Amino acid sequence: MNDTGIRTIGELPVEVPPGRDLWPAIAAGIVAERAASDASPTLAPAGIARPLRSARAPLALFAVTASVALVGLGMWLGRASLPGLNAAGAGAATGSTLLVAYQPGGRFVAERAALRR
Amino acid sequence: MPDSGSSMPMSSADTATVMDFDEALARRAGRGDARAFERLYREHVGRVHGLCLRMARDAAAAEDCTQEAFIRAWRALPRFEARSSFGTWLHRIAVNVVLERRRVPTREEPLPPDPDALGELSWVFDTPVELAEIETAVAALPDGARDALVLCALYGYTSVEAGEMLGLAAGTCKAQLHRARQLLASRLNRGIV
Repeated sequence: MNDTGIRTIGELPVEVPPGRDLWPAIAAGIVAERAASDASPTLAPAGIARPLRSARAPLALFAVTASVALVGLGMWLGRASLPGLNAAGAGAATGSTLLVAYQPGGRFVAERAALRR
Repeated sequence: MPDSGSSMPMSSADTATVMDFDEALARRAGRGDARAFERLYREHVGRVHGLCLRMARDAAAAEDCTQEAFIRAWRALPRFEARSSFGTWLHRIAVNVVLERRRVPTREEPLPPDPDALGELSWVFDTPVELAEIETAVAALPDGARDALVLCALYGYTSVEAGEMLGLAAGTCKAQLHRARQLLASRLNRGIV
């Protein structure tokens, strides 16, 4: 058998490297895939993808929760600072409590005094 | 399955080690590790390109198909479940790419009516054949016969496995193999024992 002759099909080479390195083009295709699917930052051909997408999710959730909490706190503080109505009604002059938000007019005071007599 | 570029088959232990390594790299690559995928590319590009080259019969088309196969493999990596080896899975993708790129579906000659009656084939020539001569003869085969020959006789897939890759019944694939054998013997003017 001569050096270049083969006896079986199985002796044909199964590994035939391409004429050029295809990896740069494949890496570019991978980058395009990522950009199309989730708008992630570009991937260097031999680099490792940074999981920015997964890190952003907890931060966003925290921001939303904090905003809701602040709004709720502000509403509670606002309601607490408003003048409240006690069981005896709007008795602004009773006891030592003075409701600054409401000042009864002079006519009301005179008529009330007349009724009390 | 024959070892890459060598006529000596790997031991089952070597094969298992390679498959474990590939599987580990594939898992990492499936999580977005491009370096792991590059290693898989470096390891498998020769066989994938060889497969595409023999099926497509054109160097430029083979490079395009190889590139597309790896990009599709990256896309599909999260779904790789290691039911078959990574190489087999990759070859399936490459075969699909080549078949999709064929512009005109070839209409083959009628095949034997009872392909299941066909026995196992050997591919030993009664006299040595020049490498260039046999490459030319393989490239000249009709698409269906050449596909079956490349996958089974060269890359070591069974007719069932090759049939699945090519979208053919196992019997049809076997019949294509027999046809390839007859045509090769005729073109090379040699007996195949």
